[in-house]
Amino acid sequence: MSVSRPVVTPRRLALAAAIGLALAGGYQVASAGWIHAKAQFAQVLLEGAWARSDGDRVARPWPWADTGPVARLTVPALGIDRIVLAGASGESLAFGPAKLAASAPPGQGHTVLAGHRDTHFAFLRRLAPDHRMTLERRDGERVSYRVASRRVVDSRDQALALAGPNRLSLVTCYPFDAVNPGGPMRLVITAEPVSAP
Amino acid sequence: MGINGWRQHGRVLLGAVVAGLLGAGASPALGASAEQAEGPSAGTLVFSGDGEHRATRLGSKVSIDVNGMVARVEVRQRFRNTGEQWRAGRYLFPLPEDAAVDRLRIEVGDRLIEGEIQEKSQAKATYEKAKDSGKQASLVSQQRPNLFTTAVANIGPGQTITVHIRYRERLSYQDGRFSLRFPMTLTPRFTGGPHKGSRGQETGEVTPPMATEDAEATNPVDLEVDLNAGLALDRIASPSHAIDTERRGEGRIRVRPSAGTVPSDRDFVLRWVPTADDAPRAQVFSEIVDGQRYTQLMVMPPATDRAETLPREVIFVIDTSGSMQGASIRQARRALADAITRLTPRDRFNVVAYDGETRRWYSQPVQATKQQRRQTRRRVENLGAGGGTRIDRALAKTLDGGDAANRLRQAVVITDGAVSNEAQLLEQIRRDLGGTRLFTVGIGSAPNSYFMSEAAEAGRGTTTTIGNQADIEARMGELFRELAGAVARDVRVDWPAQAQPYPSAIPDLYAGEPLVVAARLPPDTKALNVSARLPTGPWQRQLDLSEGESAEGVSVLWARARVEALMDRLQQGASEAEVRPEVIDTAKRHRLVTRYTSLVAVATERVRPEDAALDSEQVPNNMPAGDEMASAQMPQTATPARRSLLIGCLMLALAVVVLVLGRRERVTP
Repeated sequence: MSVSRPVVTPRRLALAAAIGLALAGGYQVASAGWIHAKAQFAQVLLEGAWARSDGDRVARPWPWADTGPVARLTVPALGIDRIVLAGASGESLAFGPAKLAASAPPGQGHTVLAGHRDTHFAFLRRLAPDHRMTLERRDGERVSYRVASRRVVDSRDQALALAGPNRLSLVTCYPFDAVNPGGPMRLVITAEPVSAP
Repeated sequence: MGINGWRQHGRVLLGAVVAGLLGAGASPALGASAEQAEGPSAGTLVFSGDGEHRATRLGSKVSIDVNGMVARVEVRQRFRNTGEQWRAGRYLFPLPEDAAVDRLRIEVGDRLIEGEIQEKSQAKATYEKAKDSGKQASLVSQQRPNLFTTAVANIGPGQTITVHIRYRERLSYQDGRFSLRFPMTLTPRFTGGPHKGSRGQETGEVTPPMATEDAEATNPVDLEVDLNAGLALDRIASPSHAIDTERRGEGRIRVRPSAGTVPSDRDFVLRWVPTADDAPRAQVFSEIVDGQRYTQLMVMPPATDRAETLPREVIFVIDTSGSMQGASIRQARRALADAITRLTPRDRFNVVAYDGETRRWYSQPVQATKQQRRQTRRRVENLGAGGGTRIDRALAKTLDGGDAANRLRQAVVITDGAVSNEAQLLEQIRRDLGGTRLFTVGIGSAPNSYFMSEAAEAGRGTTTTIGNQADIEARMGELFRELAGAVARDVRVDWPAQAQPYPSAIPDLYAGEPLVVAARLPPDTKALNVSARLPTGPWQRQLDLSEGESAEGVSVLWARARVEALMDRLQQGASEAEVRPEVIDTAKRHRLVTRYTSLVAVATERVRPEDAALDSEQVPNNMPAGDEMASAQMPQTATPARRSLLIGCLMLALAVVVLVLGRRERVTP
């Protein structure tokens, strides 16, 4: 009497597990890659939308977008050039740094930009006092700033002040190397206006 | 003027405080005043989340009662949750720095939830518990003085809630004129845009998803001011709105915007000018609460243009140490030259320049004749910077115990320097001060502001911090202009034995800046005597308390001043264990929101169904906001990319391990 080979051998089980793990792992890696790809590609599309925008018109970067470029942020010392989107919602932030809707337009008060620590605002790690930054508005007007302060705050008990004189704050999650998103700490870099260089 | 007020005076000297805001910062925070200049928003309900969700505001009703220098403001604002989820939110309301919040009520449907004062952690726990159990609840808390946050939990879809806030504030008085400001301006935003997800936006910025069309653009405010000035009035006007006034007696006027309800597109400002006088005027407001008499005593300087000022003896003490090199010393030189120009021939002055050594330019203060001033200015031009910093020696040469009879002796210390032996220096100032008033001016990016403000307090003067070099000249100019306007010194009140006045040491009287002292007195106190030395000789007034204007709310302002004074002690090194119980006791008795106490209101029944989730990722407990007016929650700014990558790599590695192990099994049966 021959014993039929069991269908499920440990070897097959291991293979199935390996394939499952590989697929799930691949998906995770791909989704990480997707986030970065989206972040980079969006900036390319935004570049185009920015070129089409003018003083009183927001060009939509892609037809279904519900946000659009409002400013261009450059940090010459770090070679940074980013298109800033309107409204710091989760959707906008996936595509670029975004200006908090409630904060003032560049040059007219306290402008607050937020960006992801691991994509568009990763450079904040290297941004140090006295670095110059420029925000170019849709109407072509440029506002220059000089980094004045860096501080880390707990978003659970601090809110962002939006009133006050002309200045620029950049906000991103902190620490930069944290694995999990959604932590309470934020890095806030504030820059004071300087007359154009 | 409370201790706060006196501190405030420092800021007024900085020239940065704008009408309507009298302050109480424990340390005169840099930039705080400038930010107050911005009109704050009249109140915003922000739902938790990414900080961009606002509830729709339906309308506001504001009634303001003014008694002397105190305004009691009651604000009712209605909001609607236009979303489809149960929500928790934070209600933000900017306040003048010394505003005292003493009431919170939340009205949902026909339920009225009254807030009660509890210790902060306890209040937070009460709130969290109610929130989790689905009850409507609200929490008012504060960490820094001028912005408070109300957390509101369990607002149903489509539900309307009304927030009642009551606070009291001291009015500002400048240049002979009182002013009241009610913040109505909104933080910049655009309406008329589409909701989240919709399209068609061609102009402006993306509208916050929660705001519905035009709701905020037209947000009507119904406003009424009941004014009891306590003084005969010359005129009353509003630079912001057309107003209707209705006289109801001497100094009693009811004011309404002519248009009835007004759109909240700019702050409401009301100004009134009491009939001018040549001499200072003293005024007292008082009320009896729980068997204690609370009074607010106010000494008004004479009208600025008529005021005769005291002759002065000014000692300029200037830091010429190495750290002042460059722009700092250049600016300081210019400001100093300007200050010398401002002296009048009846003033006397001297200059003490110090670094490692101390040089007193004249062995005796010299008369500020035209020639003398010119000569000194030339010498100022040649001031260089270099060497060490021995401020103690400079102080020794300045505070030589001299008191110049009928003059007001002012020492102005200009430095950027950090000092290390603070305790010793403060002791030296207290010991040697005599009749001198010490004013400190900190310039540069990191002056030792603790020392600067403590030294000024010990020296019965004010401190000015100038962080931005570009401002040095202008700000010092303002300071020196103010210093020139001393109209009375040695202001004294004959307090009865158990009186608790704040501030306990009354500063000098300067033009355009009334002194305000809040005091708790034994109930049988009949009268107070106020005296001072004027340029023309002694001045004295008796204030009859029984005849004084009865003013509701004076006790709350006293409590607020007391809490500030207690908090100041913390700055001066008192232990928290010592200060905290006293603050809590005062706060509970007078229903005040402080650093240690919060107002919490909880409805008795559950409203949110068990199965409905509460949409609030985080309801922050407190919001320190010393200088914030409008504010937003910080958005979420990290992607899960890193985590995904890590997990993915681990899984792939694990897959490889499993494969290898599986294979090995075949080889080794």
